[in-house]
Amino acid sequence: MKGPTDPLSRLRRALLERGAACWGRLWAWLRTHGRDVALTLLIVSGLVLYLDRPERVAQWAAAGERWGALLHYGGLEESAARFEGEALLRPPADFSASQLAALATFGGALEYLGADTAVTAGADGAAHLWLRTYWRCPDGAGDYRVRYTWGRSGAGMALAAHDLARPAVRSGDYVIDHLLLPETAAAGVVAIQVETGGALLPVHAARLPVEEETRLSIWQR
Amino acid sequence: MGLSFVLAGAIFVGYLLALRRRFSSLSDTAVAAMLLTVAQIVVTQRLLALCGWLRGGPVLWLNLLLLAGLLVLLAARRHLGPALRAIGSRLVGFVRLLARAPLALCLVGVLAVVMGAVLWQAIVLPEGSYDGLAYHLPIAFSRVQHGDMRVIPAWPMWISSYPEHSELLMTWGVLLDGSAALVDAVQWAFWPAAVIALYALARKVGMAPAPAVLGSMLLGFAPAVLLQAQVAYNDLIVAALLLMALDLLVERAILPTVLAGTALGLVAGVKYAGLLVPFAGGAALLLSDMPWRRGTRFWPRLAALALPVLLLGAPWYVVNWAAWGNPLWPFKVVLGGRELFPGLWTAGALYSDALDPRYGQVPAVLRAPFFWLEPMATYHYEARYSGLGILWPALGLPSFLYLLTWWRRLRGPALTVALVGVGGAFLLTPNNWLARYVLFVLGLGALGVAGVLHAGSRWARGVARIVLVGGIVYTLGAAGPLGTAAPGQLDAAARTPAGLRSTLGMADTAAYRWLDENTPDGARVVYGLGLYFIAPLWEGDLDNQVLYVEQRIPEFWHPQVARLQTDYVFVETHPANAWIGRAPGWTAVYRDSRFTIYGLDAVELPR
Repeated sequence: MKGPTDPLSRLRRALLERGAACWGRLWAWLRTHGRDVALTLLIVSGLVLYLDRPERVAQWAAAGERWGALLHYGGLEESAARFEGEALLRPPADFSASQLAALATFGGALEYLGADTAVTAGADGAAHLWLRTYWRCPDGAGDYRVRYTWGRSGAGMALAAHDLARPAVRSGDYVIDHLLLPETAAAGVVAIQVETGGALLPVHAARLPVEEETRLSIWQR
Repeated sequence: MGLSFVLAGAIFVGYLLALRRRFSSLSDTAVAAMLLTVAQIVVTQRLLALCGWLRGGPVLWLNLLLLAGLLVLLAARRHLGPALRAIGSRLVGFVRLLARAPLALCLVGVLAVVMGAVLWQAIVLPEGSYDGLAYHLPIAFSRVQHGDMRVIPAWPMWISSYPEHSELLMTWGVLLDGSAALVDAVQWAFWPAAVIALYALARKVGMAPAPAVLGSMLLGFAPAVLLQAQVAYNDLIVAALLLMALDLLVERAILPTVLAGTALGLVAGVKYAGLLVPFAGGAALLLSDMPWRRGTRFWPRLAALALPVLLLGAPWYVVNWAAWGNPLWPFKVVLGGRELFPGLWTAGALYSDALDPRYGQVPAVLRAPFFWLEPMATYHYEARYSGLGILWPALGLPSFLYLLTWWRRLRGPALTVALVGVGGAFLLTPNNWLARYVLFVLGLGALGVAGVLHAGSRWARGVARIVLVGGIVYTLGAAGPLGTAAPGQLDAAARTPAGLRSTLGMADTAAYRWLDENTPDGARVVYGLGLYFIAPLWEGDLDNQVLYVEQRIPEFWHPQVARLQTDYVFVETHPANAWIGRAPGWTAVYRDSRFTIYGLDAVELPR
């Protein structure tokens, strides 16, 4: 059977044959690579949808800042705040906006308000533990000597003692006293006594059941 | 510190040796051993607590006894030596296999380094997460304080009724280590467990080892996983247990099915939403076993799956039912408009403020895909609006769709279990747009990536490899192996003596520091309604006794506080609480704009 002889029909037939062949090749290609194309399109779409957001710029900025801080980190000695001249490991609490009431009153005037601790990196590489005691002292900071003792309490146990010769620091309403504790104190009990003229002040218990010459256990670990 | 990790590791090795002959692959053996370890930790503590002996000594000795018994049994049957040799040779074989796939080896090495960094952070930094301090740790600390399984009267009220499997993992650390230093690492061990479970699942679907390893990296490097692994939450635990359950559910034998049920029972007792997860496991069993066909073992397997779920998961809800008249207290249970169990709020009402109003216009069904694109600039452990990472939308999801086109060439039942189990759990989870609730969904992406790398064309494999490596680099760059902590913070924390680290974060909340430094060991601290950060009241080494007394009704408060022999009262600074300072015997010893601490005067109150 002969095909059409007019040029238009032949052209049409040729086009159809070529189209079918092209489609066949395309279909064969799609059958082989369609999954790859779809996967690639999905991945590219996912990446574009994820990355083309205003939050990404902020994310990169934050990441850059964090990695910059890490890569340029020069150690605590350069970056940490100071406490008593040493790099701060564990900052003390900020009680400046707090109202502290007297836990004990000495001599009817000196009020003991509580304690806090700070930890610093000592020059010797060891961690230094600082005891901070808070006082309200109407007569001025230098009028009282505070004696700290530490060690394990109990019969026959000798307690080490530290007499603070220098005056404490006045900060707002409070008088704050700093004391560097030895390592042994960290595991025991620190006691406080207040002295004037070499004698212990009579202690009037305001909050805690303390009596004259009673050591106040203000900090335990 | 560290005894809890060492003993848990020893128990794991014991079960690994015992189960070696029961499973054909080392990964399945590891998954099963991990499940039994977690189950033993939870069950032994629960039993001891029911007897009122939840103390460090009994927990240590009972678990040592069980471990010794297991090892003696193995030695008597002469299984110990062969099992050790078999595990050793399998490990060596796996390492050799990895050595032939440099990319997989490299990524496993990077993941190990990142896991190490995260564990180190969890150790040196004290727990500071919101839910951890509000109720996960208070539950664990209350159990340690009381040593029994009493219903804990507390605020927030979750403390009284929350299922406690993850909290019992926290008490394990506290009781054996004598400190709370490792409580924020409670989820960490489930991170490698989830990765191994995914690897094992991919192998069962039909992937070669190297693609299976690479696929599992999708979960291993997800930002939410990195951050969850260092806080005392429970979402990573849920994800890992579900993936472990599905891995074992693919096996047709009864023992793996019992272990899958154990995993689902543990999930049911981790959180309220976990109660729905076993239904997804059941659906996966139904559709993979197809009981309407001949020759299946559906019914025995269903029983083997359901029994551990009932034994492990159900008791928490039965206790709630008995104590509160509602198994899901404080949730109101409403079915078809009818209130089955009265409660304080519905799940919908509770979660109504979880979504920021600016995202309110996003239709509910599109919320999950919307948040998969992470409209946030930073990552956070809470993973509310971000957390699955760039790899999920850019590689995991496309690869999973690609994998589905190979369905006929793959081992159908394994893929059915994974698809139905993960998909079902995703659909059943309330607020499934919240990334940390559905970390397990990454499992589908992991299987997809493994599928592309295993069966894809050269082009597809190349593209997947490039995007995988690029995505991991991007994730580590954006989320960072160090999380949100600054280098100076970490350096300072690492150099601070371990005993003083627990109060590192308290400088910002001075009232807690004051309580820590100014109360003697064993002080009895009562807190009141409205306070959310409860855990620091115990202090770092759990020195204090912490109790809750609602302070709204003074006539109720006074006798309660006297009966509890309270030394201090810790409440929010609020005019409604000011009457406590006027109550006889009580004086405010500390006050700031947020908190007030009242101390008992020297004058003895009548008890």
